[in-house]
Amino acid sequence: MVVHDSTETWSGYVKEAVGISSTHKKLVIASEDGRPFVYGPGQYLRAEGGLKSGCLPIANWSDTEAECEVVCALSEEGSFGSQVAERDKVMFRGPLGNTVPVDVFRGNDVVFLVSHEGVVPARSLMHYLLAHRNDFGKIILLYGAPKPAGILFKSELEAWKKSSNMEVKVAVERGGEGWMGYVGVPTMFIPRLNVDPGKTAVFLAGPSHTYKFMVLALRSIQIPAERTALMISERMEMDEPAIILGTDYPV
Amino acid sequence: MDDTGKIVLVVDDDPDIVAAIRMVLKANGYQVRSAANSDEAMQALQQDIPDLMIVDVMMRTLDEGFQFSYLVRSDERLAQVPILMLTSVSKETGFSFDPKTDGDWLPVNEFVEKPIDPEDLLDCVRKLTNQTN
Repeated sequence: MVVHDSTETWSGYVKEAVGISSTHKKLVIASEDGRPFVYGPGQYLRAEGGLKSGCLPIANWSDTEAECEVVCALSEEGSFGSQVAERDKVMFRGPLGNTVPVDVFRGNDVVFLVSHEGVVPARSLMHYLLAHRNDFGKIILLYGAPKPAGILFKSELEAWKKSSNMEVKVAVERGGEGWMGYVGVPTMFIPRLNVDPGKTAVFLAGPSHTYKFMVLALRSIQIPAERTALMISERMEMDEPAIILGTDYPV
Repeated sequence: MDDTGKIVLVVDDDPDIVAAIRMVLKANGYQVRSAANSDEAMQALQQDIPDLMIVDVMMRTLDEGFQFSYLVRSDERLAQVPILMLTSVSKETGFSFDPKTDGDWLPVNEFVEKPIDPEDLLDCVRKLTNQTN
């Protein structure tokens, strides 16, 4: 099977563009020459070509499709998301970066502690876990969004809430808009988390300034750093591997 | 501005810190209540609402003070009470914190590293308790 080399620039197109919240849309990216993608959770694409450029964490996981999903913000003027539309052709590089060390997670309960757009790479890892469900224990998603309208993948979150052996908790920093759920940040769920620290792995993703709070909250319940993986979004801007282990944080 | 009688709740598990803060504030007319952890503090807050809370971070857990501030801010009765976070968490962990940039993850009015000069403490307390007028 000939797959894309991460160093080459290849021509892709936007097969589908779907709004997933009032602030973001999901794009299905396919390669014009039909070559498949091989990617792991935590990797990203780089869109290249002047105005239509940017780093795009991959939002799904599949080992069979010749396409992948990314998410981009709608609102930032001049951004990739504000310019790209269905059927647009775009030059890409990638998949770039390294993948979440799933072998560290295998055999454990898995907690996602994510905020804002960190739910995008988290979804990729979630898809991987669900495709290999028997390899993992309980799955708990703790997700913080800025406001109710900014919650991404709402219908998928609802479906996961109904899955057996899965727990989903969502908090928003600002309520209103009829929001009846939790108001705050996702670390507020940590003190009452019902997990065995000796058998739990955690994936963290979100704005970098939130990681110190997340790491302290996890240390407070004795989750070991070697079973924690973080996504450092600033590294994507430099085409560097974005996933690090908790033992290497802070960078 | 006469601060006589204003109530300050100190939430800190270090009795020496609590005693030192109590001494400074009482000498300047404040009433000082104390709690050694967030559970005791929440019980005290059922009785009356202070004009200011001075909260440590690292108590029974590394982030107990942060968790306490989230509880306070989510409680309509308590959400407007100013919080002065007085802590050595930055020295202990190497992480730096700033309410201006950390936003809802650090929902406090002031964040000050220990130790604090008594005059600086008084200035902070006066400023924050006058905000409740």
